Amino acid sequence: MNRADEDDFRSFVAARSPSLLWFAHLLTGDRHAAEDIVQTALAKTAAGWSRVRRKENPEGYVRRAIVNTHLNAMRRRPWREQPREQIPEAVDSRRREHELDDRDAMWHALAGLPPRQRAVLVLRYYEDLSESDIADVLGCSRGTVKSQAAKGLLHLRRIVAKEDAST
Amino acid sequence: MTDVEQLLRETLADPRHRLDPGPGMYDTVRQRARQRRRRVVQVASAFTAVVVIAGVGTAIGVNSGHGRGDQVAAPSITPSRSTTSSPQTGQATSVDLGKGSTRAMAVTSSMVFVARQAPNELLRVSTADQSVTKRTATPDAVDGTAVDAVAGQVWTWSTTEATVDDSGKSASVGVANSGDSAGADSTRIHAYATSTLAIDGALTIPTYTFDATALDGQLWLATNDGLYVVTTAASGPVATKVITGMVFSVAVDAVRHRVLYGSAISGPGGENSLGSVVVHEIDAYTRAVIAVSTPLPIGKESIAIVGDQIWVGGYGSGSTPRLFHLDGSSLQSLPTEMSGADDSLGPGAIVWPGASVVWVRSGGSEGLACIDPQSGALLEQWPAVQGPVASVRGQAFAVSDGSLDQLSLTGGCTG
Repeated sequence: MNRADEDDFRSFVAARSPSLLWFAHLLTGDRHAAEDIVQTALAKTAAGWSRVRRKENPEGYVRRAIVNTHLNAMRRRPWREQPREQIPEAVDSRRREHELDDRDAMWHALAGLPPRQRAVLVLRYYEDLSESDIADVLGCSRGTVKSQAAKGLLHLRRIVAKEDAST
Repeated sequence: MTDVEQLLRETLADPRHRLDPGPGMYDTVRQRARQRRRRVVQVASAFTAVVVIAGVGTAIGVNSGHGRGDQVAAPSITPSRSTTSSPQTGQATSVDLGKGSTRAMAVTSSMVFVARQAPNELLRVSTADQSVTKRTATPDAVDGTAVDAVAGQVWTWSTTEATVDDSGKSASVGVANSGDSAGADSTRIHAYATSTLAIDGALTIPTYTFDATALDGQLWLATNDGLYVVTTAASGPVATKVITGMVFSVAVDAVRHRVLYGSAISGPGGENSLGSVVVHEIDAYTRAVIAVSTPLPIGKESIAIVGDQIWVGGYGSGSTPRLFHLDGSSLQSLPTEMSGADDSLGPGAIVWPGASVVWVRSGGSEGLACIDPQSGALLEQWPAVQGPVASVRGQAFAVSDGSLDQLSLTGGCTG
């Protein structure tokens, strides 16, 4: 990497790390795993940064590397539902508390999804990617994206309904 | 947008999930990038050295007249098969499992479940160091195994086929098992817990099984009397016939929760002539038909699903293809060809799915190939290995001549 590339890469990491970490946290549900896959994806990208920086959307390229790094890691270690870190205490307002409870329930429900289904939902509802863009990122067909999204939403709907019934 | 979709959007955008990078983020990334570059250089150097040494070794072996099996044995893993100088030819090493003959195996990322005969046993072997971590006696001589890592179950089956003996009475053949079926087709199925290898349940179905596979806590069986699914109820396993008629092969799409099976169409010469096969795709839960292929001019087919890619192998006649690449949605045949090995397939091809590759064996002889599921490109081959083969990413195992072989993935094959 030459000096100009190095400076550019440093600026990119400084500017985009928070956003990339947020994205990775949504994919993994785990703070440490998120840091690890962002660092891995950036380290992979560093080698070809002179080429990546000339792309129309270098950040999209890194996000794709994050998704693939995560899914590859999960393939090596078969998916199991895992305990997640504690959700911070809710704030004082009653209404706000209720909203946070709903979101916490949703966050826990997300933890129960297989990694690929979760990735599809994060790309769809956080990144606002189209089905064909998601298929492109994940290297699968649009049909697979559709069915994964439908299955993921069905699972979330069931869990949230169960939570509602129990409160 | 539904309430759940809205709530999901809000949850994902919830600032509580934001993470702030530590102060040393950039330095850590650069350090990891440097380590990564060093590893790449080391691997490339090691690979070059292996190729050179293998080349020299082969030349010495040829000059001194030694066969390809003459290799130094490691304490628990015995090299048994070919090594050549070609980077696309892989090596297989036999895993020492003690007395007995390996009949079947199934693989997860950390374990290999191996069914053996004489004595009848089910073994759990670590993929990390090939040590036997659990061993249990099986009630029957097992003919096949399937593992369902998510459900924590390993299934085994032992099958017998009825035939008519010289005196005109029916008798059972084709088995070495304890003979609970006199003169009738039958398959004895057992479910074991992967953690303890304790039997979770057992049942018998009155049919001969060709192929079986596990998905979502269920076992799907292709038999001479239809497609069966075994589910686990509170009272134990229960079998349901889903499709009537002979079904030779079954495969599962774990991502889309679908089951693919082949149904044979007889040729013009009647039941014994080589006909064709139609592949059906059904939903694993509703069993509704999703797609049906056009007839493929093969018999005794096998199906491998890898991601969105579907390959079907079988036996054919003349110069007709033995291997078909089907579109993942429509099941229509794609023009992909298996490069570099078409001519070596002989009378047929048998396929097995890997984690990210398709395994293809020549139907006429030994010879296993690892191919790219999208392009059909030959990635690596093992000329002396028979299969069946099963693999996860980075690990591949095959059954050859009653032994369990670990395949070295040193070429382009990722397992």
